[in-house]
Parts: sequence; structure tokens; C-alpha cells
Amino acid sequence: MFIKRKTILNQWWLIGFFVAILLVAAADYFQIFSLRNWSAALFTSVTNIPAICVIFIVFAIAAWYNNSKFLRKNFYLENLEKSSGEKRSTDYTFLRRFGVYGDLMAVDLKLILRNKRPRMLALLAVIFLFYGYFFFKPENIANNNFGFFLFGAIFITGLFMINYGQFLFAWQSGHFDGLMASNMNIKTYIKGKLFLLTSFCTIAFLLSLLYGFLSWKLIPILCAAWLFNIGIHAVLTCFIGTRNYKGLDLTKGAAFNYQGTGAAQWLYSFVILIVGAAIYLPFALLINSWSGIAAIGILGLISFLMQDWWLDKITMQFQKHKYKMLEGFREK
Amino acid sequence: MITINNLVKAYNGKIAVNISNLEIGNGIVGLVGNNGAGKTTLFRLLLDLVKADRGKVLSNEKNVSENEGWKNYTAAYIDEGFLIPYLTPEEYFYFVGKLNGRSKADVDEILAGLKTFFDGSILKSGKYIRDLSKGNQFKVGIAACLLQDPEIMILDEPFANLDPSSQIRLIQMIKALIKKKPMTVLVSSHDLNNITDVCTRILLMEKGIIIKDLQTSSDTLNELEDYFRV
Repeated sequence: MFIKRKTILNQWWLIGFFVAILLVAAADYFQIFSLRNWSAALFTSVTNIPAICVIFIVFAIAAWYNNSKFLRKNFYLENLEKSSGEKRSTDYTFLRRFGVYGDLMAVDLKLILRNKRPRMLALLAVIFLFYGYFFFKPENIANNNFGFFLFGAIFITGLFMINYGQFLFAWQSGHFDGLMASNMNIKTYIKGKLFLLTSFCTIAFLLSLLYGFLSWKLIPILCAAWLFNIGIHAVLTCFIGTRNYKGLDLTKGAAFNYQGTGAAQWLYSFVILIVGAAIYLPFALLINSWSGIAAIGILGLISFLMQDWWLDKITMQFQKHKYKMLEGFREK
Repeated sequence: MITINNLVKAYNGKIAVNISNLEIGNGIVGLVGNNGAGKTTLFRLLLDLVKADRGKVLSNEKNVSENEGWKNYTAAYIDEGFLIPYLTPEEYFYFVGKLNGRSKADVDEILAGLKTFFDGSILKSGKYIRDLSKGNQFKVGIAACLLQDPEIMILDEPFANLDPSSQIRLIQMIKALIKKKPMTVLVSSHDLNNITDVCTRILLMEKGIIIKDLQTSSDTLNELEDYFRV
């Protein structure tokens, strides 16, 4: 609760939190300081000497006191609103060359950068880029655990798409009415979203290529994962997006905010996994791992080249569910 | 020209809109009725934001729910759900302008003409739209409609959140627009004085049905006041 509150005020706390965890984990890994052993010792000592329980109670009281002091101090609404500085209009000139899709992406970018919750997701996606060290460990490289690598690569290059794409249209639920009544074709709108997803995956992919230094084998795997993400995953994200009828309040932001999540989100992660596995496994098991990777990459590429065709299908689905979305998003 | 045929929309068994036949041509048309009469729902139906249970809305003879062409010449402002809250007013105007084929310079020119309406609190305000007052948000919404130079303009209770000077300016602007080119302006309001001043035709709505269709005359204000006095 303390961390959650502090992260709302300043997201650097969240980074600090993660860094702290990383440090502890790293310390454990390098056997400098083992939190595991230490905490095991602590808890076993409690069973031996019940009096140590008192220490935990003291901590609990301290935490309660800290929280209530904060609440009391900030009870008045006016204290809660901090005057944030003057806002400037920004114009992303580099997006101008993309015409209307550049404009739509500029609006989406501003949504991500100027609202707490999506900004947090973007930050998480950047942090997650470092998870490669977890997936691409030396033992796994020696064992050629390609399936595992593929899973990791898809996650690393696609995490933002997963986090953001879950609520693809719901992010704009507050002004969905306006968007639908504006002079913008629905097909253009959806293509703008695909453009956004593709761009983010590509940037993540380019950054992740640095993992090639760990092993050259990772490069084709990352390529395949990238093609899978922009070709198949992005399209699936749009389809599933049309089934999400729950609105989102952009002004509420917190690292642990689950508003708007429901069964659809879990279904979504599940579907992506199934599709990926369905393509990779038959090849990997029957022929060899490389063919599985190739299959994923080639199918992803084909799907990406077919994007216009997919776009028409997605637009049809969108039209079908449009009224339900409008109604659902209007409820705040 | 908007044509409505046998349009019915009900929520939970309660009729919100039930209009058998209505044609709205050029001119300033007003829509009055108490709360819950169905005015906003009707506007939403005209903009294909709500699915009709029965019937259809035709804009220039094309069904609005089957065709997106009406978006080209229609502009509307219903509530703050039509604004993008995390943009500055300028960014929002440029975005709307772009969608309607207007360059930045075009937009700047039109905004310059709205200076008195804005009264210095919209442009270069250093705020996002979500931090503006309700009245100023309304001004942004209305200005965005004017930017589009539409043939059909739909405004839901535009006078409600404007201060008296702005109300008068808005009335002047709408009247000037109509003189410049033939267009349809559809306005709903609780303010009977303003409505009888600005509109040439007034529709009175009750429980989803248009019960009176009046051509505005000097008696109209009394007629409306009598109805609402009950």
C-alpha cells in the first residue's frame, strides 16, 4: 500500500522498487547475500522463540501508523490536487510523413505519455526488455531450448502490445462517442491502431537484437518472434479488442490498478499462447527446432503482408460490436 | 436533409424515442422537452452512436448505420465525451482540422475569428482539455464543430454551460452561419427564450414522441411556456 501510494505520486519509486528486487535477486544469485537463507532463518527462529513475533507486530503497527498519518494530513481535497505546470502543445513532426495514420498515432502516443496508467505500462515494457537475461541463460543456450527462447522473445518484443492491446479500444472509452461520430472511417481508425502496435513491437525488437551478443542463435529467434508479433499477434489483439466492452478511466493510474480487467484478458493471453504453440510444436517435434522457428517467422511474415485483408475482417467485427462498445464505454 | 422513419429505441422496456415520421431540412431547428424526453437519445441515434430497435435514420437518403458518408458533412457536440481530454485545445483543433482536410493555417484562421467567443481562456491556456472548466470545454466542442464547416450541425444543450455573453455570441454565430450557406443546425435547450430567438422551427418532445412541430412566431414563446407550466 505504501509502495502503491508512493508510485502514484512519482513513478521513480516503482523503478526503485524493481531495482531493489533485482539487486536482492542478483545478490542471491551471486551468493553475496542470501535473502532466502536469511528469511528462512528468521521464520524458523519465530517458531523457536515465539517472542520474536512481537517484532512483526511492531512492523505492522508502524505501517498502519505511517498510512493513517498520511491520510489525516491529506484529507482535504485541495491538498490532493497538486498544481502541475503549464502544458505545452507538442507536434510530433517525425510522424507527419505518415499522413492520417501519423496523426492517429500522435494522439495515441500522447494518450500513453500523458496518462498515468498507460505510461506505467510503457515503463514496464521497457524494464521487461531486460528480462532477456532471465530467458536466455547460458544453460538454456547450451541446451538449445528454442521453445523457451521463442516464448521469451515473443514476450520481450511484444509485452507492450500485450499490456496495451488488452484494452486497445477501451483506452479511448472516455471519448469513444466523439471518435465514432468524427470524420474518420472506422477502417482508418483500426489501421492506425495496427500501425501503433507494429511500431512498438519493431522498436522493442530492434533493442532486443542486442541480445545477439549472448548468442548468435538468438537473432533468428528474435526475428521470428517479431514477425509473429506484427503479423499474427497484432491482428489477434485487434480482434479481441472488439470484444472488450468495459470502459477505462484514464485519470486513475496505479501500478496495481486492475480496473477493466475481466475474463477477456485471460482469454487473450491464453489464445496467443495456444496459437504460438500450435505453429511451433508440430514442426519442432516432427522435424527440428529450427523448422519450428522458421514456421513461426514465415507465417508471421505472410500474415503481415496480408494485413489489408485482415483489416477488412477486423473492421467487419468492429462494426458488429460497435454499439455494445459504445454502450459499455459510456458507463463510467 | 435528415429523414426519420418509424424510429424506435427503448431501454429496459421503457420507450426513449418513438418517432414515426420526421424530416429536418435546412434552417435552425430547436428541440425542447423536459429531462428524459429523449432528446439526447435522438441525437445519438442521428449520429449512429446507438442502435435503434426499429426504424432508420436517413441522412441525404442514406442510412446512417449502413454508410459512413454522413460523417463528412456532419459535426456534433453532445457532451465532454466528444473531446479528447488529454490534449491541449490547440492540439485538439489541429487534429479535428486534419481529419477534415484543413491545414494548420486554415485552422488558425478560423480560430482567429473565434477570438471574442473564446474570451482569452481557450487558446494558449497551458492546460489540457480535461482541466478546463465545463463552460470552456463546451466552447472547445462547439469550435471544433465550426472548424468542420459542416452541412449538418447537432448541438445538445449548448447554452446550458455558457455565460450570458457567450450565449449571445453563439446565437449570433449560428445566425451568421445560416446566412452564409444553406445548412441544418439542430439544437436542444432548456432555455425557451434563446430557442425561440434563434430557431425557425421548434420540435417539442415528450416521452420520446414529437408532440408539437411549430414554426416559430411571436406566439411560440407563450405556447411553450404554457405547456411547461403544467
